[in-house]
Amino acid sequence: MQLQKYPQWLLLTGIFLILIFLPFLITSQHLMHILILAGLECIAVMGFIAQYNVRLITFCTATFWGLGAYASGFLSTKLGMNFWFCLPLAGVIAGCFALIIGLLVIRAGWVTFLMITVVMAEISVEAIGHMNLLGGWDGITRIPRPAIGSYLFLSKASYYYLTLALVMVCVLIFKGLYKSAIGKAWTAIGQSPDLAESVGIDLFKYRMIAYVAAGFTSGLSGSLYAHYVSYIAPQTFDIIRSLYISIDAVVGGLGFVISGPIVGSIILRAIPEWLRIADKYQPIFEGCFIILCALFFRKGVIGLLSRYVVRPDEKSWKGVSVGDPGD
Amino acid sequence: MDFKVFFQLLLNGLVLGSSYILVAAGFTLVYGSARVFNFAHGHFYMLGAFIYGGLVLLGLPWILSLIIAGLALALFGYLSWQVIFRPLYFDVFLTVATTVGLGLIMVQGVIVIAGERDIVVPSVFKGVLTLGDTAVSVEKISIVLISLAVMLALHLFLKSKIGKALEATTIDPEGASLQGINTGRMFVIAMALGSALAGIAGAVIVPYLSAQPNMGYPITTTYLCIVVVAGHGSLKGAVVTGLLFGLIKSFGYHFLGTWDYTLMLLLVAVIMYLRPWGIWGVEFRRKV
Repeated sequence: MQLQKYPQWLLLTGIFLILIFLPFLITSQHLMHILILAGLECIAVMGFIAQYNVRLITFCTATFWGLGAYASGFLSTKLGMNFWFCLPLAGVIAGCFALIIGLLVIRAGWVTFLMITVVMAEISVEAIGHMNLLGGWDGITRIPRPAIGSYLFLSKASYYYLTLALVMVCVLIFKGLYKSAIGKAWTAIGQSPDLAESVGIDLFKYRMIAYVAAGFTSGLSGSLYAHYVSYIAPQTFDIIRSLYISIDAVVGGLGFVISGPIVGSIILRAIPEWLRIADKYQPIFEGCFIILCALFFRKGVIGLLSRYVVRPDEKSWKGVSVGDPGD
Repeated sequence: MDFKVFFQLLLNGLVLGSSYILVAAGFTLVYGSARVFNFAHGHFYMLGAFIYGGLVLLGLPWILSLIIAGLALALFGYLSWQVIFRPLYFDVFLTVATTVGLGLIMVQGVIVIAGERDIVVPSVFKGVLTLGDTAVSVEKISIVLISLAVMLALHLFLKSKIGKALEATTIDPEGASLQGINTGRMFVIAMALGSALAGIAGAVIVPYLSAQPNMGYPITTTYLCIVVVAGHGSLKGAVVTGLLFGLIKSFGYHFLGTWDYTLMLLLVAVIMYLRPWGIWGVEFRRKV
């Protein structure tokens, strides 16, 4: 196509400008709300894809998201800390948890890892529900909105810019990781762990980096989420949320590490709302979407579009081979 | 401890454990041969419970309802294999992702049709058996006995010629196909049989619990824990661990309240650390 001849920066600048001016174009507050939620979710989806690239399939992304949200909520309401300290601390706390859990579970095969993440997603909800310190099943209420000096981020538009900034930061983090030697190692592991190991790539180390990076960014996103909705409960971060995140990743396109999550989460958050079926039929919609995606366009929505418009930047690998369960 | 309380807890544990066994055996059968990491298996169990409950409430005899629930789930498993999982056979992650989607559709579909409320299914086995001074409800014994009978039937089936072929397919699909086994048919059989086991488990347990659309999520955690502890593809391990988990759930709930989940996780963590391939599983070359 013609567009392929233009340099990529032109496209990126265009997208950036559109994102900057979006609040002026959209008048609906509800749509802004959806966009903010999608923006926060896409960070977790990026973490999911980073883990998927090193062949760790996880279903507890929302757990780390919730961990960040709870850390931030606890620090700001119970200890009265400023949001700007809570945000990085939430990321660090979630990252530390990822480090500890990763030390225990990453060495097991991917099937066991997958099972353990599911169990963790269920247990964490139960455990937080029983902790009176963290508000139990009632959750934490009245988490303050962030502020700079006397300016409070109250309107949807202002919070949109805050979310956009965080998404940009996370995009830069992941972009940097993928461009560096770490990202090269990730790609090698994604194509064949055996081969990667045989040329001297430390699988455990690079898997650990992906796991901790995903935990850290999810924690940041969770912190922003907690301060946005100002009320968090354990059920918000249950396994269904994690399942939605994995579905976002597939719909956006698993080979597209940055653009896939953004497009996928926006599509899956926005379309049910737009069709006004969100409350009742959203799970059915998501389920149908994922099955159709898996059967008919496996490279996701971006894969479908990239044939025509965008220069493909995908990191392709042909799925996990059907090997022994311990592989 | 009072013997009466102990006995009741033991019986409750056996009842829960027998349903866990059926679900875990179905899961391990499906994953072992058809390589479908079925995330929706817990929801197959939920669907079985609803079908059985609906038929019993309509007035059908229980045995007929049980068989219909099993057959319906087998058909469902067969259809989902043919339509969704067979084209995705070589991509493990997309298979997992589609089972996730299937589970979401099933739960929400049941909520749309039946409403989000508990449906109490009356037990067909009423009455109480008195042994000395301890009273035992016939219903609980019937649940254990029916599950036992189903497991026995499964055991006999796996000893038959088709069962042996199924086992060969589980161990090595290519080798089995070189020996003249129609592996495609074996995958279908495994999928249908595993789904039917989940449906029967739900149908058996529903008079004891009540049918609710979200009942699949807790059992998902449980059967994954069981499979992690028992090892992949081990039916014997699934039986022993399933019973153990039922007892842990029952006794743990009595003594620790809702922390029983945590006890289960602790057990899983210890096993994971000592034997990552499970107690009865085949040891794999430890990578990483």
